[in-house]
Amino acid sequence: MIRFVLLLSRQGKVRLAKWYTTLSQKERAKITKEVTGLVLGRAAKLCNFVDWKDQKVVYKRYASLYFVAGIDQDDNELLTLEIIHQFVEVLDKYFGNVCELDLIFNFHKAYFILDELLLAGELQETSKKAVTRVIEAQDQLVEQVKAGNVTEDQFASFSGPRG
Amino acid sequence: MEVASKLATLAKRTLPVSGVFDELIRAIGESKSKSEEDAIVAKLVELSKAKIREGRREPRTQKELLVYLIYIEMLGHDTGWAQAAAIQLCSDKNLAVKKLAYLAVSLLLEPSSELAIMVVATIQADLRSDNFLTVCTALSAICHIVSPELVGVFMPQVTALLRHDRDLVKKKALLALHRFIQVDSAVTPEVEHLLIDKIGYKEPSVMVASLCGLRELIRRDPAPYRNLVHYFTNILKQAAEGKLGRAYEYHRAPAPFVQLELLRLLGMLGAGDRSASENMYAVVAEVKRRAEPLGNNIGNALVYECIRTLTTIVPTPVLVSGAVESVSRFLASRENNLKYAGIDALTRLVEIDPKHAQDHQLAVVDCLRSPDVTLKRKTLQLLYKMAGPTNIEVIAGEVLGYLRESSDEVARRDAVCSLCDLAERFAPDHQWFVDTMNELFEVAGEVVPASLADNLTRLIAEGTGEEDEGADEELRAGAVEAYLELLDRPKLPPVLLKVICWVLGEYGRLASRCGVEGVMDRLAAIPEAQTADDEVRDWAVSALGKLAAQSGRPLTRDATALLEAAARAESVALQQRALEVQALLRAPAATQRAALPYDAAAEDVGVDPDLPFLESFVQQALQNGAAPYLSLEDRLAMGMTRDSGGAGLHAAPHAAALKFQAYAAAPPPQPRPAPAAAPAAAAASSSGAGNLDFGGLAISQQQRQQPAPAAAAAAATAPVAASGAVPAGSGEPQLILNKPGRKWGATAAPPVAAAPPAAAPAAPATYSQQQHGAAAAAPAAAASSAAAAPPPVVDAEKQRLAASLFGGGGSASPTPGLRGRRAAGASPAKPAAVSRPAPAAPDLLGGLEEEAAAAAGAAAAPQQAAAAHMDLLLGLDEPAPSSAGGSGPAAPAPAAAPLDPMAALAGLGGGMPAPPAAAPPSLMDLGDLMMSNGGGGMAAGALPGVSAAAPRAQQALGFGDLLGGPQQPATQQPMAAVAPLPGMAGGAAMASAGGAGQSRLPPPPKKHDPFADLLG
Repeated sequence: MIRFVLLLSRQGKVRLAKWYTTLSQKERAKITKEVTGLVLGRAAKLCNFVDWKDQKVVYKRYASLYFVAGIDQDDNELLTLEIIHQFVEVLDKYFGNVCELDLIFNFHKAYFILDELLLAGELQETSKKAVTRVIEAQDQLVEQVKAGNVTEDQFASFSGPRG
Repeated sequence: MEVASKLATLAKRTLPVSGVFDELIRAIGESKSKSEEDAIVAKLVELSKAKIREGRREPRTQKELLVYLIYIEMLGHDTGWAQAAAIQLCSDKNLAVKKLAYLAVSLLLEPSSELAIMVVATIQADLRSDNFLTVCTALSAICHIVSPELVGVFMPQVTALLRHDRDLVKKKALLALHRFIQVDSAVTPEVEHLLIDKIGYKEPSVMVASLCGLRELIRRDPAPYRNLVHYFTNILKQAAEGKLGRAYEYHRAPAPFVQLELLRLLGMLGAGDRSASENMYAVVAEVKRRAEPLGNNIGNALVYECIRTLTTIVPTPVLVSGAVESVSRFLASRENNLKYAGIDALTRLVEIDPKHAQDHQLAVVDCLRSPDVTLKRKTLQLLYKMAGPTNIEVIAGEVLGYLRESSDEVARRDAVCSLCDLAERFAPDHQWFVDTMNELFEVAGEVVPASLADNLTRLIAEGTGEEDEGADEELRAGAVEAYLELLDRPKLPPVLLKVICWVLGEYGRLASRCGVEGVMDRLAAIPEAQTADDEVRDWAVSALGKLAAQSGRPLTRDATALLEAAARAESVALQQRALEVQALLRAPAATQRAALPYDAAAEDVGVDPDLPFLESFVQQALQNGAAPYLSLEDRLAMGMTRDSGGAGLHAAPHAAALKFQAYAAAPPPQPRPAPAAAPAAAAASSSGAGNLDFGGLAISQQQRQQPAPAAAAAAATAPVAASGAVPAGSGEPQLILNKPGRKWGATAAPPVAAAPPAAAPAAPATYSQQQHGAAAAAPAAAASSAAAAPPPVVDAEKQRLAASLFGGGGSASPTPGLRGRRAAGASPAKPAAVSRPAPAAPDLLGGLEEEAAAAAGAAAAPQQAAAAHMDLLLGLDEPAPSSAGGSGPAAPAPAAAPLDPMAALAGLGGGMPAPPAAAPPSLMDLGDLMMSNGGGGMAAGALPGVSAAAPRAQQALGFGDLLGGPQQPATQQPMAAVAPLPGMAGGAAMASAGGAGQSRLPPPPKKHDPFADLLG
């Protein structure tokens, strides 16, 4: 299973961190620090996998952002790479040509998307379209509430487009 | 339309928060230092706290607050002050706020946080919501916060949601079930059928969600799910043919993630099951055939997973040959990722048949030389798999080279373990093994497990296991020289220093260039020249003691200085060790040699757990009114103690707990088993011996309140109890009733009687170690005469690494390595490790007199020496019988304490197995015998009882006296003041007890050890 997903900037700043195992704040901070050092220290063109403790770290750099995932020893590294890529594609589709700033200022949306893609450390939705649809449905809902089309009371029983 | 979509995109990018936040985030992005960043975060915290105080209920404010919190948490700062506020917001009506609040809670809360319980009611309410998005949000939240206690709370609702009319909800409910299985495996029976029900569900995303949970179950136990193989292959076939719909297509591959999931499931189900595997061959081949031409990442991921699957299941030649082709393609790729996958796949294939590596020699060497650490490490793992007698030297060289460069601790540990394993299996000769190990210790000493050092010392002590003593001597002499040379280098790791100390101490006399004195000086210089801790000093002190005792020469000036410094050391263990050695070196030469014989480290030590030689002492104690020993079972039955989960020997004293039941009444004094003999026995034993009554040793308050732990404690801190000083370590007030009237210079008789008690309690610790050691070593320890296999021929010229790596083919080696050879000799050795039947216990009636007489009568010099030591002991801590005899409830426990270890211990002195060999009567001859018989023992399993003991055991035993310190801290805590002496005396006592035993039994030919070992 995937144990954690980290988004790091090139300077090592965390842009998003999601943990699928139970860890204390301290452990998280420690892992973040070590993994950041590990990943940022890798030269280009080396393979995208690093052994780290009893886990493997799969990372990929997109523009100025590193997408990092920690996985179990017996997981398929190539597959993890593709999961990361799918996440990026969904982000790209949602934001329309995603850039680091989108993630800085809308990181909660990135979290929502990731939550639709991965749950409990497993890929939960393998269809890019389905993920986008759910997120759009939520956005519409919020927009409608804002625009006053739907009142708060209606909102409670609103059922969005079929996911 | 385009404008509309642009507007929508813009809307997405608008912030949920105010400009202040925007500024702060930008500032954080631009901050150069951690302190700058911290200052900004502090501002954020201020802002958030202000918002909480305001308590405004507009969604915008609330969202802002939550976003702040997540951001603060993400930067690694504490958010404990706001968690309650976030939890409160989970019940907000606004979905956007609710979602954010759940997200914040799942990120902020520690897994064990008690606050998690506060979200439960909210989640339960949300699960009942009409809005499916709210339900989904709640289900996601469950996945994050659920703990084993909460599984039962959510289970009914989550199960009900599997019938929700929205697929999205079903999917999330299934994943929640998956999470339940992860956190609490007890739910399996409940969840199992729910998951299986959904395998055939028409919507692929729901179906895949059920597979996740099933994979967790199958991973734990595949057997009950083998009947599902048929379904899985069906779905996999459909997925590969693209029948799941275009929505699941990804980079031209049809539903690749579904395929990968199914392949993994099949791999687990097919492992080790031929019929299940046969059902998969066709579909796995089909998946691979379709994935191959894709040529992109996802296609390669599929092919790679196919190879993993087909190597996990029972392999079939057709598929394997297909896999080999794919591996070639991967390895030929310029991308490191693919090379990595190729090497990994090749490692798996080599396990099936080593010949597969042959085709990729150059590619493998290429990867080995790659600058990429990951790739290199992976390649080394491949090398481990293809190692054999012909390429071991090259591979060992590669691994050592890797160890020099790599810094990752886990990777180094792996490499060390693998190399040791290979070296033991395929070592061409012993010299090579010793050299390799030395180098290994040098480059990676900090990660070398202690057992490896034992392996090495054992090998040096046992030698080749063949009958060639000369070769063994040569090996040892070589090792001694090598180590003397090594000592010139600075900063050797402690584990290597210990080995050096041991070897120099044991075989230092073989040093040809500098002589024994030179070796002593080198040993004495270790603490100065190296960064040695107390443990290493300990070993050095022991080594000096051995060297001096065996060579019969006095210590050099440096060595004496080291000993003196050690005797004043802060570490009690070291101090004790040093004082022991000093005392021993003052003893007559014969005693020294008996205690520290030359080259007897690998000898076997037999132990009789019944301690029959103590029989007479026990009887006497009973006659004097001591309570009889109760076994652990008896005590458990009587409710006097708690089962502390194992033999009481290892149980540590636990924290005082209140006891509510009344104490058991003291059992009446046992009727004397031999009334007629009793008076005589009592008369024969002097009052001094009588004073050693266990029952009356001492009564501590602790023991009074807690008989059970006290007994356990006594076992652990044995010598304490024996010396009457009462278990230390519990800081509780203790009442010690020591009778002041003690006698110096008692006659020879009392010591003999007194010896066992002093010695016996010290023994359990060493005994258990020795048992472990012996058991572990048994298979390997035996020297086999049958193993005459000559060292394999290694092609000397390694012009090309590849040639040497692959030259000999795979690991199917015709020549067994060290381990093989040892294993060959294992069977005859095994019986030796089992403790042999004790000789007839001493006659109850006459036991005491007999022993006393034996000791008194024996005129041999060593015994007198021993007796003298004995006196020393008695004088120092001879406890009084005290009031214990009839003092009610407390009596049984203290009485039991010392006896417990005794019963557990083998009859060290008396119970020595008596091999068929000659039975020389005096201790003097013992040493010589040991020498000669030692050789014989090594030579063959011919003497069934004489196989060699492991160095482990030998360390615990033969040198337990000296080395025991670090290994058994339990024995040291006690008496700082009296520390060195009980040990000494114990040993001496044992010696005399052994002497006593000899008069009755043929003495075991190399049984110096038990005596010595008790010193520890």
